[in-house]
Amino acid sequence: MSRAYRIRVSETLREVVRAEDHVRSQLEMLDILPSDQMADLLSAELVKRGFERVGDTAVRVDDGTKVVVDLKESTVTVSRETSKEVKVSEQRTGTAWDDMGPSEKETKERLQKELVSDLKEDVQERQRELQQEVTDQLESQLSDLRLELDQAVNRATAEALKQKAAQIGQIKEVTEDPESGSMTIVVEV
Amino acid sequence: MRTVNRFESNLLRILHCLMGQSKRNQVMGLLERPLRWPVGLSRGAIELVEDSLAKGTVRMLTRSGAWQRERHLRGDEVREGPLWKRSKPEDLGLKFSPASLDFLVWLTATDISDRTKIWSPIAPREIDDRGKDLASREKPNSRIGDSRIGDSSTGDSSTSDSSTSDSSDQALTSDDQTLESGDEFLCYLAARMMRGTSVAHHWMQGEAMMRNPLIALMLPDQFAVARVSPEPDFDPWMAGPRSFLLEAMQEDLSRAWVGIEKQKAEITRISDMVRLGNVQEKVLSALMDSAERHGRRDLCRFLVEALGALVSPDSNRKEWIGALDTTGKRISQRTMAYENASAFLRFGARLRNWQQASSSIGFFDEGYAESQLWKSIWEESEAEVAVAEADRVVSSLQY
Repeated sequence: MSRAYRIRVSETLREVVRAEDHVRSQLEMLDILPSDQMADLLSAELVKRGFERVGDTAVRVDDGTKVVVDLKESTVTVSRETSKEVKVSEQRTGTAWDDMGPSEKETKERLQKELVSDLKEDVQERQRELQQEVTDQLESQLSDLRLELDQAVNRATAEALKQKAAQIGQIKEVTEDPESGSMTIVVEV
Repeated sequence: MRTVNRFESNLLRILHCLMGQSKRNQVMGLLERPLRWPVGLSRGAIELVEDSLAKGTVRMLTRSGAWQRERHLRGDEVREGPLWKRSKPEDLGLKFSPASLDFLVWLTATDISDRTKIWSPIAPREIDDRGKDLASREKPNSRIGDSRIGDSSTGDSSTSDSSTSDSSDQALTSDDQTLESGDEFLCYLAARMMRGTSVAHHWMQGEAMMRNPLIALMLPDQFAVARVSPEPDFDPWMAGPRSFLLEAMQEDLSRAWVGIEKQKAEITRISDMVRLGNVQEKVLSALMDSAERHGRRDLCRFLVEALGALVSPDSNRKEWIGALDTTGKRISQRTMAYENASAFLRFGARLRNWQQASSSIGFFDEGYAESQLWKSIWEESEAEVAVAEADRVVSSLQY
């Protein structure tokens, strides 16, 4: 008479999953003054907004999002990365008979292999979820960041125009309209 | 009347198809059921090949645009008229080396669906291996001569200058593996004939195709599909017969680039878009760098015309990325796709820089003629408007 063996296997997988996303864009800086002076003006505006000057870049890390402005190239790179330890466990059971079919050992190996494969798939799924989370978080911050950087660029440009005007002659009057963002400089030459 | 054998007849039919005288499906059977590599070719067959090349290239290039009244540079001068008025007919010849004949024989003797075979220009030692019998035959083989674009007013559209027959195997020996202008044109015609097929994608991996600037300019998408990065050297194409090819093909080039851009609306995979954009960027950068170095910006006129044909005030980003599947993709992958989608449009900024540079060149400065010609190309094409629209689309594709 054949005997049936109930085989139970369990496995735990512990892995660190990482997710990263970034976007790089060009800032529209006009060459009103020489590039190093424009870089300094932009840097000054960014420092007011919580950035730190590091060589030719200005850097800010805000709630896990890193913003790096390359002052020479007038580019901005926004990146976010995170990692998380994931632990997944599962059990699997199967049956083997002593007189036919795969042996107990073979059944156990097969179950183990399937289990590990499924757990790895679970880990990958967690990684995809984490990745989507990072992408969504980054995307949600981009529009506010774009606005903020545009403002910084506009202020730097306005300051550059004032300095340029002062080189041409004596500034008599400066009027700025915050609503339209326009600026009028009257210069006596 | 000449008599040719079966191999030679097949070779000539394939050549006529390359010359646009028949459709691809009429010769596919010949290309897929090759005949054995011949011991030699008859004098009559060689003469017919020379004649086809001479007349065929003249006809093709004339139809492409050599007949058009255009302005191009000749040294420091701007010359206007059809191609044969801008240059002397004796300067217009495309040169075909023995490599052309070898290529035609290879096409006829090779199963093109065999992925283990790619044509490469003959090296002397290969000729010896194959051509020993050729040397020993009584019937000599002559060297392929020049084809010329002649004076249409005389009705004589071509002259063919064959050298006298030479029975030594040196007649089929290349000094090196450098292809002549006609050889490169013939390679391009073959790539064009097989465009869109897996054969073309396989051929793109061969050095002869990879380094062919005309193929890179006319068929950049084929390199992208084949996952091969072309390596064109445009410097030899800025003067001489090769530059005349570019002059004659300006409309074809413009149409090609418009077609490739319009294809982008159907691309679904990010990786495909990235590959295409990379190839476009590489080819156009190489072309424009070369044109700047040699003072031949007029050869890039097709870029301005293509931009003008592509963009309008109604253009929007969907025409470039409408089918792109970005579901679940990271922002970095999406931005890379969008950047490559706008690869061609972004060259508008460089063309504008050329315009600005041209405006600052004075009468006594070097490059005055070139700058004036570029300015007139820019104004006639209303390029300022086109580039502004291109910039708008590029901005809409930025994150």
